Amino acid sequence: MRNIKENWKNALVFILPALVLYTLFMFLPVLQSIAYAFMKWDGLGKMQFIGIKGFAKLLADENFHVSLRNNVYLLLSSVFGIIPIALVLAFILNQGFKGYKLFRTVFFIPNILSTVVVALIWTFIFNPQFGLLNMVLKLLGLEFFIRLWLADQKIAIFSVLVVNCWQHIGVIMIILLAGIRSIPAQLYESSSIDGASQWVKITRITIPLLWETIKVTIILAITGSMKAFDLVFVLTQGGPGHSTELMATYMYKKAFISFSYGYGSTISLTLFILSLGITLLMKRIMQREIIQY
Amino acid sequence: MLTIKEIWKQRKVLAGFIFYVVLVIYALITVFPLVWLGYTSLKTNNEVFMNPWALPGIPQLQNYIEAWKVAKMSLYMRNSVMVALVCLLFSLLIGSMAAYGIARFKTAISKYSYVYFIFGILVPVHTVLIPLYVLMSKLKLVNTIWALFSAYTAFSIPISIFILAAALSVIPNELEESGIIDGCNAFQVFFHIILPISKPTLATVAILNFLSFWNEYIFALIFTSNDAIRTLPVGLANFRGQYAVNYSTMAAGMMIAIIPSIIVYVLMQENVIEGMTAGAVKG
Repeated sequence: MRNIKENWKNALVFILPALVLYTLFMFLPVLQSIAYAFMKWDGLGKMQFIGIKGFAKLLADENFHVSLRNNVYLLLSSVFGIIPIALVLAFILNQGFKGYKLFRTVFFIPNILSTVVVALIWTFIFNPQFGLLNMVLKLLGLEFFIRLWLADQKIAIFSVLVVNCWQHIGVIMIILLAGIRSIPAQLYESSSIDGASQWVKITRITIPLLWETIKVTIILAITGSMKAFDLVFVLTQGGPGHSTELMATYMYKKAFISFSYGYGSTISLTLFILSLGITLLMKRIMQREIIQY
Repeated sequence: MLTIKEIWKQRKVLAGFIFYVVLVIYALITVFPLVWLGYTSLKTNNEVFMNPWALPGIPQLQNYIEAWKVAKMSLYMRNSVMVALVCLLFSLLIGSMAAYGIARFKTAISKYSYVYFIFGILVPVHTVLIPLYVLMSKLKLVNTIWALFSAYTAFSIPISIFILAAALSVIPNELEESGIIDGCNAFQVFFHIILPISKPTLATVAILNFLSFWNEYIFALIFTSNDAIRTLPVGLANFRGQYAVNYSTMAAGMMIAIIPSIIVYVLMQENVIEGMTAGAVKG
């Protein structure tokens, strides 16, 4: 038994297929991507080493600034929009209303649809001629609020943010709900005996004990926002102009429409570093002692 | 006069009512767009514009027939099913084998390869898009279904190993030992003992991977340019250009893509939620 389990050849036989596939199609491409980021290359001709010139160009590239800003918008709207709304819904659901399961099922539906489908549904909702949103506004007597939701440069990015919230609230709510339910009931019971109000229970017991779970959702919001692509690509193609461009859509355009493989890789490497950097930074900032009772 | 206790009780009832209203409003926000899309898909294109709220006069089932045949939804559906199932088979087999080698063997290679695989969870697909496209071109896989098979399977490996290795590492040693005493070799132990008791975790990973293959867009967009091998998300997204004015057919096409997802979700709800939240940690 021990012989079998300590023989590396036996282990390798099982690991090998995954190792080959992963190395070839995932790990080596990451290394290549790092190398390409310092090159000028159109994919056909000769590669030319340009050092950090690509990054210098990126710093001066206004379209990239807009993309980065939009990614930050997405991140902020996730952290300060999705998570609080999901938290409120999770709290309410946790009260154990009739139909608890039905609401939970319904809230999760947007998460099972592909982002392409979600984006297409919202092109219908935002449609200026027959869209659901403008119809609802008319119904509520808010005609003055009607806008060209996807065609107005100033507004389009906010429409994108709304769709992003709509799509992701469900899964974040489920994660938070699981966190709330794992808090031992006797903590609430003993605080009731001490005469604590509902508000005190939420702020002194639930939120502190939920902090680890909230941290997880914040990290998810960050990584999700930095790599977002499908939603914008289908909803607005980064337009009008470049007003809804994200780093990933800009990278796609540079690489697969203008065939600047080098510059595209500079963007994607920057995306990767930013995403990793912000995640690690946030983990650092959010570190605090785990409360144990 | 009301006693304090009664005021307290009334407040509780009021809070309960407000909570309920919030839940119902949010449920409408999530579901009504789909309901609206559903009945829009049964209207004529004129009706869509004339009165967007109204239910269809006579349900136009031919919208679905048109989307299925003329707009090639049948083809995209077939491709999506094939890609998702083949990749699912590959990813479960390869992923669980690797998880076994990692979690149940005490060798350096098990330890280091785990770290190596888990790094992949942090890698966003966009980082590898360009080199991967170059590689696929060199291997002459661009515009073949094999580009999707290989890329999807490879990208499912880190998260599959992450979930499966955790589950396999807690299986009691005695189970394996009894198999070995009975004369099983390592493969027999894996297929006849380890896999059967890991079924619940395999189901979670299967659903997670299936959904990510089924919904995947950017690889399919870049690696395929031929309708014959395109999957649903790419086919649907292109719909927008081709059927830009024919909204009712487009709605029918979207419903064709949505309905299977909803059915699977309703049938296997708990598993789907578990799989999706397990996969949420993916980078």
